[in-house]
Amino acid sequence: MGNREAALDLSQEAFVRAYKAIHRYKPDFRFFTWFYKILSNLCLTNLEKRRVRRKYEVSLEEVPFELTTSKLDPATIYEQKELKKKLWEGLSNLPPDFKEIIILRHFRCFSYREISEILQIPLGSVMSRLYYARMKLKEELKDLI
Amino acid sequence: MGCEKFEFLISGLLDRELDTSQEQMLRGHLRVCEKCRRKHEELLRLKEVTDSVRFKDLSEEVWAGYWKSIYRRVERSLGWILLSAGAIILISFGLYESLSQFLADPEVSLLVKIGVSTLGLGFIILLVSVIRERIFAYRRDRYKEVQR
Repeated sequence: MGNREAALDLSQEAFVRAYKAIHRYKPDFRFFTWFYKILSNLCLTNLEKRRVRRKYEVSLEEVPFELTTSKLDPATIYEQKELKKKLWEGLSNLPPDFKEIIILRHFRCFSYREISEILQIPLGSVMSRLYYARMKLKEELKDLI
Repeated sequence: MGCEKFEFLISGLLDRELDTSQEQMLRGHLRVCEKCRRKHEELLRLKEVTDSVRFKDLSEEVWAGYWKSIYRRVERSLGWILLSAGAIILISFGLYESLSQFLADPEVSLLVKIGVSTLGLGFIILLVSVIRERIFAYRRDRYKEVQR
């Protein structure tokens, strides 16, 4: 969504909608999959309304990433901070379906089968969409890779 | 098989999602195709970059406020439902009472009474028809889960 406040706000709204529509939930499916569909529809509708198409740039404080390792020398820490910022900007500049699949795989570590269930797309499409998303992200990060 | 199919498999290889035969096939192709080998290396580097960061966890303070806010939203929406139901009941009762008094008033001519009654009846029929149509359309809507 571009910023934490908007993300928190929409996820809360998704909880309220899920609560109201709980009678439509079918226990044959995982609750997360059902909830994720409500949440992603809400986010896509909101993005569409806002028509965010500008190039995304953020300050370092706004980047929601942290490093996975703390054992680094000061020079590397500086480099890694820049990397965090560029990665977030690159990710934010991707089309929503590419950004979504990268986050599900790289940052939420879902398997292809889980992603296929969540996004309701065939397994083969998970692999191809991930490939195109990664190529686009690589293009966004051409200074780093 | 063209390079395109192998390119997709590169993603699967990075994520260890290929079965043995797919992996053997891809590794065989990577040995002979420099273009795909380069793509594999680039995507491997991209994976190293994404693996070096993770999303920050929210503080407990933020989480506490988060759940309270959800509770408030649910509470408010319940309030709106009750408020709307109360308003509908009161307005309906008011209309019924006014209409009864109006029809019982001997000073109002029969023609006016018939005119007002017909107008009211027409309005009710139209309203019921629209509501019924909306309910019918909603039940048959395959995409009702999708937020427009």
